Amino acid sequence: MKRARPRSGIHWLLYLMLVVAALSFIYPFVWMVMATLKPEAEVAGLSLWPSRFILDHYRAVFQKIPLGRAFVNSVFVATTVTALALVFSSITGYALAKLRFRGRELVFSVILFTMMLPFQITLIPMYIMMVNFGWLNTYQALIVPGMISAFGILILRQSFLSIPQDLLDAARIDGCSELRIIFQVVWPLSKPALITVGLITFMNSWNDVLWPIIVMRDRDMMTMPQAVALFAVGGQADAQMGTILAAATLLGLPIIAAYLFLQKHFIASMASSGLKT
Amino acid sequence: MPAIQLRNVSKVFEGETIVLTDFSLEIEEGEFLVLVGPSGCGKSTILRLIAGLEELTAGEIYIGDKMVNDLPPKNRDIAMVFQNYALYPHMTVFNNLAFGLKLSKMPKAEIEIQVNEAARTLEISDLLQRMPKQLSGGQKQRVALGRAIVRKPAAFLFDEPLSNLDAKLRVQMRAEIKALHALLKTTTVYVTHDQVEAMTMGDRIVILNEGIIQQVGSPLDIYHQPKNTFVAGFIGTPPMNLLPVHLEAGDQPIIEGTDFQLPLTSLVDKLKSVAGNELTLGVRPEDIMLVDQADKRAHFHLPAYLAEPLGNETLVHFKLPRGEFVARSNAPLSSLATGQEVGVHFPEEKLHLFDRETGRTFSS
Repeated sequence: MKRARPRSGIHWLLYLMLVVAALSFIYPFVWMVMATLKPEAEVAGLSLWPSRFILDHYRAVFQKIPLGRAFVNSVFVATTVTALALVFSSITGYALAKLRFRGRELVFSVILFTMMLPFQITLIPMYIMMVNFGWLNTYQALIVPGMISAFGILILRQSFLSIPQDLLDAARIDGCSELRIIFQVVWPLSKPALITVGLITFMNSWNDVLWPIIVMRDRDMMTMPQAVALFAVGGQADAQMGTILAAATLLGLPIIAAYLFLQKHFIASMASSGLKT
Repeated sequence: MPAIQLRNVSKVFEGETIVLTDFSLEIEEGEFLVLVGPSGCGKSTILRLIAGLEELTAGEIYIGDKMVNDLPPKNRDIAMVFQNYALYPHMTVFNNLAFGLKLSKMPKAEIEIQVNEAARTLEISDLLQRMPKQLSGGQKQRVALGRAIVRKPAAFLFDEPLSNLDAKLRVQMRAEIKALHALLKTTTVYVTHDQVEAMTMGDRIVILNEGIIQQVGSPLDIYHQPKNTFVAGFIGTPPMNLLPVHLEAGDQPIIEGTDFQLPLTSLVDKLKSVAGNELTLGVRPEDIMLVDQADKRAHFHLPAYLAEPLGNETLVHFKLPRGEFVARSNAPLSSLATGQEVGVHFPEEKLHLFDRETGRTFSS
C-alpha cells in the first residue's frame, strides 16, 4: 500500500500562504455580511462578531426601496441577457469554429479587438443609438446591448473547436440543420463552456450599474444594483452604513448562489480552456 | 441506370488546392465499390462530395436519376460511416440509432421497430441502453453501422471505417461488412488506404492517385493486369517488383537488367507495341522462382540479402546495382537463409512490361 509522504516545511509554508491569500479575499465579504447583522454603532469596527445579532438593516432596506420589484427586474434582465448571449454567442462561435467562409479570421480578429475597448468608449455612441431607437426607459435598452459578447464568442469558439468534424457531418447526414446541430449536438457536449459564459454574462448583467443608470429613469423598471446604488448614494439610507451594506449583501446573494450551484462545471471549464486547441 | 454517377467533377479547396479535376465515375446499383489510394489522393473528398458535405467546384453528381448538386446531405438518401465512429456521446445507443429517424418525423412506434431490427441484424440489441463511452471499439463500429442501416438509404458511404480498430478486429469487421452488404445489397462506396481491405471487400476497385483514376476493375483484374507502375506498386503485399531494364529488340529480343538477361520468346508479339527501349520490368514476388544453383532455368544467381520467414512462406530480398526485388518462396525455412546464393528464374508469361517514361503497361 502506498504510504502518504510526510509534509515538508515547504508544504506547510505554501499552505500558510494559500490560507493568507484566501482570507484576504474572503474577509471583506464576510466582514460585510457580519456588519449587516450588527447594530449601527458597531459597524465601523474591524471585529466580525457583533455584541448582538439584529436584522434591522434588512428591514430598513425593504421599507425604503422597492427591492422586490428591482429584484424581479434584475432577474428578468439578467436571465434574458444570459439566455440571448448564450444563443447568439454560440451561433457566432460555431460559425467561427466550424464553418468555412471567406473573411472568417478577419471577423474573429475584429471581435477580439472589441474586447480590448473599454465600455466607457462605446458608452456615448450606444446611448445615442438608444435615444434614436426610442429605447430609453425600456427593457430593450438593458437587454439588447448585452445580447452578444466577444468574451462569450471567444470561450465558446475555443470549446467548439474541440468537437470532431465527423460528429457534425454525421448530424448533417442524419438531417440536422446547422442550428439544430448547435443546440442538439454541440451544446450537450459543451456544458462547462456554456456554464462559464452563462455565469459570467449573468454576473456582468446583474452587477451592471453604470448602463442602467444612464438609460433607465423609471423607478419601477430599475434593476437591483441601480436601485441599491441610488439608495446608497441618493440619501435614502440616511447615511446608515449597516443598511447600505445589507442592500449590497442582498445584491450579491443570487450570484453567490449561482456560483455555488455551478462551481464544479465552472472550474472544470476554466481549467480546461487552456488545454483545448 | 447507375446508382451514383459523378460527371466531370472538380473540387478546388480555398481557391488554390486542386483535389479533383474533371473526375467521372459510375457506380452500379447494389455494387460494393472501393476507392483506394494513398493519403491525399482525393478519395475521401469524393465520398464527401457524394454525401453533400463538400460543395462541388464544377461537374454534376447524380444519385439514381436525380442530380443532387444542390441538395443538402439529409435529402440525398445516403448514410455514412466515419473513421472515428462519430457517435453522439451524449445519447444512448438507441438514441444514436433513432436520431435520424426522429428528425425525419417517423412515428415513435415505427422508430422502435426499425432500431430493434437494425440492432438484431448487428447483434447489438443488448447494448441499446448503453452510452458510447461504455462500448469497445468494435461495438462502437457496429453501432455506427447500425446508424447507417437503420435508415435504409439508397447508398452507404464508408470513410475508412476500420482504421481505428486493431488488426484482429479489423479482419472480423471486414467480413461482417461484406456479409452485411450481401444481406442488404445496398450500393456501397467504401474508402480505404488499405489495399488488403480493397482487394478483399470490393466488387470493383478504383485506384486513385493525385485525384486521377489509375485503374478501375475487379480486384483480380487489377492484381493480374495493372495498367501502370503506380497500380502495380500499390496493390499486393509485398507489391510487384519494378526493375529498370533495357530492351534489345530483334528476332530474339532480350531484356537486359543490371545483373541479368532474359531472352524473350512468347512475348515477341506483345513487344511489337513497345516503343523505345527503356522499360520497367514488373514481376510479382510469388511469380519469381527460386531454384538451385545448378538448375538450368535460373536466369541469374544472387545471394539472398535478407530472408524473412513468415511460417508458411519466406520473403527473400535481393539487391541489384539498380534497385532491389523480393521473392516469395514456399521452400522450407531451413533451406533459405540470409546470404545464401540462389538461382532466380523470372517466368516469361508472368512478366509485366511498362514504359519507363509514362509508367503505362505494354502487356495488355
